[in-house]
Amino acid sequence: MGKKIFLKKAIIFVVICAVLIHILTPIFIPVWEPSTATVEGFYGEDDNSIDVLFLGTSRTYFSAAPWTLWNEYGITAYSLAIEAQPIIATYYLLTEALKTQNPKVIAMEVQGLDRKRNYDEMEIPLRESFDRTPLSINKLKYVMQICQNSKKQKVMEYLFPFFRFHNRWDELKENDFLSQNMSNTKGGFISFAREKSPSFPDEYPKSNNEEYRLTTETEQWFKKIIELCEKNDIKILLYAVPNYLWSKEQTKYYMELTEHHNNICFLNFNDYEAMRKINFDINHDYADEGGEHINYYGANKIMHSIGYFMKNTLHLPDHRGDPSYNSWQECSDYVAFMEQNNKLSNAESLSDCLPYFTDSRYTIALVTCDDGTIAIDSEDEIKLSKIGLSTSFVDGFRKPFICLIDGGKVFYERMNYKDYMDEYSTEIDGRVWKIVSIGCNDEIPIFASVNIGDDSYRAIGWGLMIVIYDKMNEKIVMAKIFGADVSKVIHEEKVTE
Amino acid sequence: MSFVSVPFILFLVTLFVLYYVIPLKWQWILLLLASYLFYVSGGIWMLAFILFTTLTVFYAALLLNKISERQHLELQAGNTDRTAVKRKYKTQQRRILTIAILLNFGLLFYFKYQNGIRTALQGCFSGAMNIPNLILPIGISFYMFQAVGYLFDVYRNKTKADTNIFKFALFVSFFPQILQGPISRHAQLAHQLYEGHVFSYQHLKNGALRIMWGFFKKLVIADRALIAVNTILGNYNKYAGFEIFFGVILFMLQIYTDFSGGIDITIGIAECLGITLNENFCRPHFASSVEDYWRRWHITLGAWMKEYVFYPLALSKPFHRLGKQARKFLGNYTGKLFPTCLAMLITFLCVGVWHGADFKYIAFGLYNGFWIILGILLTSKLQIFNEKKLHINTKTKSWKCIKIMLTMFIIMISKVFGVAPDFSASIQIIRRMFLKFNPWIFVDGSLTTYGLNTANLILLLFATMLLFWVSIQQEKGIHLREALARQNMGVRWILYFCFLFSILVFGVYGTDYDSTSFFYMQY
Repeated sequence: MGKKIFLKKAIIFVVICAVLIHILTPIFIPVWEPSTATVEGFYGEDDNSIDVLFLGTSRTYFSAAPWTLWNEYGITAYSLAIEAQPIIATYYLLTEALKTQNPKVIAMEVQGLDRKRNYDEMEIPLRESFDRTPLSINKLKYVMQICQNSKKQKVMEYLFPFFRFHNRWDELKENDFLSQNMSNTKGGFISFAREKSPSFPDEYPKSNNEEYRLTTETEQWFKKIIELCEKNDIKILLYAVPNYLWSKEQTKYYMELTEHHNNICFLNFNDYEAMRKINFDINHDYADEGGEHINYYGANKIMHSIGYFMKNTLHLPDHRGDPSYNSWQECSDYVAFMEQNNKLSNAESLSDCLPYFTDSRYTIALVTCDDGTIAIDSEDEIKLSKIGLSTSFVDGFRKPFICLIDGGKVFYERMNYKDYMDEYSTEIDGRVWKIVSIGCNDEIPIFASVNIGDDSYRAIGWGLMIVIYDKMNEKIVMAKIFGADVSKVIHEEKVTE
Repeated sequence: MSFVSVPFILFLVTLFVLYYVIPLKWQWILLLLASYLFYVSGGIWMLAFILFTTLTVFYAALLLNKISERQHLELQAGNTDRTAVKRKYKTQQRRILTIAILLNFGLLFYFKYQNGIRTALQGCFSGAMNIPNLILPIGISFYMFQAVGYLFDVYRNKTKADTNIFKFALFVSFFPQILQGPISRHAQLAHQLYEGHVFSYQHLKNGALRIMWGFFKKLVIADRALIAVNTILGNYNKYAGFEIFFGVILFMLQIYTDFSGGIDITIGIAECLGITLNENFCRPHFASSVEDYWRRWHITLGAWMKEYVFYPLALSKPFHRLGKQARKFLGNYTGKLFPTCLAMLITFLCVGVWHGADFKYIAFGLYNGFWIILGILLTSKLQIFNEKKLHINTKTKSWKCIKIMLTMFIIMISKVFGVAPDFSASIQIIRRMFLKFNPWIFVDGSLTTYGLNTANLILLLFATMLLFWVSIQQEKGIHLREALARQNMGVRWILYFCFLFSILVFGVYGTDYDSTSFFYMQY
């Protein structure tokens, strides 16, 4: 065989290899929560549809709430902030974003900027921003910068992450083979945790009596970001969420920055007056006890103020009503649904849950364990009958009862007056539901159970067990038993019979 | 530059392209440049030592050649006392040979035994002497043995001395084999290196397949087994009984696939260049005696030792005289074999010493030598005893299997000397093997606690079974690459990709592992 034919075969061989590696790579790269969906979701956005781009660390992604900006001001925002995002990644992500988007503002929470970064020890944050972005000159420059400043990071493994993560072959799951979900929240992160910050000082912000500076590396890359934004006529909105460690020197530093650069604005929420204005609650608006990250409620308050500034000072347009921006309305609806789920998960009685029984996005199981009537009062019974339940609980004392509500309508209901035990199984949307209810009985232990696929929820004690399944996100929102205090629900995964 | 690295793959591809683009007469120059580039990538300081060996051996061989020519001329001139002439020139040649060997092996000896030498010298000079601690130059044992073997061959007139120092430098430094052999004979390798090779698709394809097989052995089997080996034998005090057995068996698997995988890559690279290197392994785990094992394991080292240590000793006059004396005391049978046995013991002592300076290597050499001598003395007698007294049919497969298993058990013990940090640790490991009877570790899930989870253990088992199947086919004389070549192109390509991607996916490489070194590179 001649050299030419060999060359042709070699080229075909290499091309097939490249294609196979290209196919395998997204399977082997780990799915990072929430950055994978954030980055992939960004590439799913329509070109030039984003007016505000959030960038930065977890402080930014906890505080960015694109849904609030949309709901209140019609501003289209997307958060590309990623946990511990090094500023070099921020710069290159912005460069990458500008290929398809033309944001009018980039917004960054400043308190993650002053961290000193050691590239040797932060492989995952470095990868989260770029592993799923397509090969490009930007990516190459980013990788070269990282690998020149780190002994551990290897160029080949960054450009072709398959060679870094091939050893995950023994931990691959179904999820790895599916194309990743796009972010439902436009990159925003929702934390419903309600924590109290460490106490704020009386004199706040206080002075540290030393000059505040960013690290040399941060300053270098921050300068590049400023230049890039100036070149593209983008405003930089820096903001600082309330933090008990914030100092006067920090305020001074960022205020001076705004004086030196026309395209930088700074919104500081670090004084009691600013917090009072937005009704920020230091006892409930944090997602962690360290007071580093704010929660969903805190983020909404901050965004309310930032949105006002963007609307009135930066004159960002209101896109509400324009059908080409429907995805932001969908994001807003999704977040509202998440908030509803959160309320459900905190429900303390049947009456707390009843308003949501007609929501078509849920499948709900009601199962009695020993005696369910103790959790149902006459008002609840009326409400249940309005939903379509025909069972009367008057004679239901210690009788097994099973009810399934799907898509807001009663799918199945039965109070078994004859036997001490009742069972029901069915398939809804490809998921098998197996339900057992046990009433008065002296022979076998009393329990109620709801099995959904591989998940098992088993209630012990006595009362009414309610399991609410979110069909949209395919997860259980709530599994509780209302009744006697000693009752509880035990969750087990992967039940094998 | 390690074989298991991206720069090396790029280096190889570039070399192959250039090799077949340039005129044939320049190919050896390209190989020389590539070999030195490869060697220097490990550290420029190592260049001094390979140059030293190249220069000393090259000029010593030239001198030996000149003396031979002078002797030849003198004999042709009609000098009547031919014996005296021969003796005179032989003495000159022997002197040169001795100096060259002492210089080179002295250097090797220093590198291998520098710790002991330093301690001794510092003791003599009350610590006043500052002796530098030098790192063993990569491949020094291999290229030095190859060069010295060449010198012996010139001395014995088995090969002609090279007259071009650059060509000889290529013979010493040929990059695929410099890290861990095989140790080649000048007559077999040199002419292949110096002559041009036209492009051959067959050579390239077969070479590439051999390289892939080497990577499979190294990355999928050896480096995976190493994880459990390190867990068990690196903490041997925590384990006993079958746990240690399991660790040592895995070590046998690891060292075989590591070393032979490296050799497969070496031979495959050479094949791509149109050069045939000697095989270094012949399915050693099918050996039915320790002697047979050493004919199949590290063949080129064994051949070197046989050619340049064993035969010169066994056929020397003192050993001949020793044989005569021994017959008086040990009887005709044993006495006749005594010089052979002694030469064998010394040879294996040298094999041990070649591996390193530690006493464990001396024990390793003596242990193997002991079993081979026992084989020499008892094989024929045992054969008669088994057949006549015990009525065993020694020609059956089952008997062969028993012999293979017994051999492997003996070899397994010898491998402990290789893996243990020192001699006393070797004894500890062997002792701990028999300390506890715990066969339940194979079924109670303990195997997954040695660093490999169930999936990895199953993969290791499958890969080993594939290796075993390939070995059986080879033992039967079936050439798998030729059998593969007879398949349709679609089938062939599917198999190629499956094989390549099984290495890329299942190979133990990357940031989380250190798979860049080969076990035998340390020698």
